[in-house]
Amino acid sequence: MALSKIQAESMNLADTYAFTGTVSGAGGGKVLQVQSTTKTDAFSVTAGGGSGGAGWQTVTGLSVNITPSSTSSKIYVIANLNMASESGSDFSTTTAIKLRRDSTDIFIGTAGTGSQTNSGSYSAFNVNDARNSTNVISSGLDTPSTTSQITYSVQVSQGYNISGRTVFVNRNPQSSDGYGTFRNASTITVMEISE
Amino acid sequence: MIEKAILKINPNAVFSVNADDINQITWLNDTTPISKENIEAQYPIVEFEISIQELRSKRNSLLAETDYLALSDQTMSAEMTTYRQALRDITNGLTTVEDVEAVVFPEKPEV
Repeated sequence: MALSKIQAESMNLADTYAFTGTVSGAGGGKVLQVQSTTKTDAFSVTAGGGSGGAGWQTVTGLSVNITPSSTSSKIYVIANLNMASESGSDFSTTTAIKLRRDSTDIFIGTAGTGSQTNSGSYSAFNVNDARNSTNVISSGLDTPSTTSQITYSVQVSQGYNISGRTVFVNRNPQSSDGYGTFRNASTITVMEISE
Repeated sequence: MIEKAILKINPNAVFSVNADDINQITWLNDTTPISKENIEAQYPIVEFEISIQELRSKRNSLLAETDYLALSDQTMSAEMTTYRQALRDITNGLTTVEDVEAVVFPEKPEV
């Protein structure tokens, strides 16, 4: 029967004890390190009418580096973006985000057909609501299989990737000083999880 | 502001802006860069358009409050007719942000 061995006659839980031994066979799943970046200023991508869209663009200042301690480690990645979108016409606006490990897309849906776009997360907005914004979250457990430094980043797109729209991060389309304007923050956090 | 100012000059422009900073514009898809001076020159026009858009939005809300009085089974008083016409005319002659900010909405008459 496995028992813990406590050599002291009694332990006072209010005291501080220094552990000098080694724990083995305790199983995996421990968080080995956490890295995070918070972006507090705004970012926008605009595709003018007739331009054909802006595609996916990396959000400046919203990336995080991590160097796994083991090739068997998993990396839990979570990005939480406050986003908004605006169109110049009377149709709904949308935003989408996806995560990247260095230059590789991760946690995205299988490619669709025709003009479908595969992304990580997606949000729709009401028509031209200048004060509307929402949190868009994408997360997943990555297996980078390396002990070299890797960079996780976020790309954003107008959901339809067509022209005549602007997608915003950390602000809504209302750019004046008037009421109903918010400035927000977005984060990306990575956690190394032992096997 | 920056986004709208750029689209005033080039409606087909594709670009990103970081930190609302005119020095942090990235021109995408072979868009020809526009100078900071030319972008900033559009700011007064864009500011006016934003402010008058806000004004129209508020005006439209006030008109909607009394729309029911225009139904065929209602009788609209002369004061209410004057009030609603004043709301419709409230953007007449406005050309600057200062003009818009100086607007005083008419007082709603008793129903």
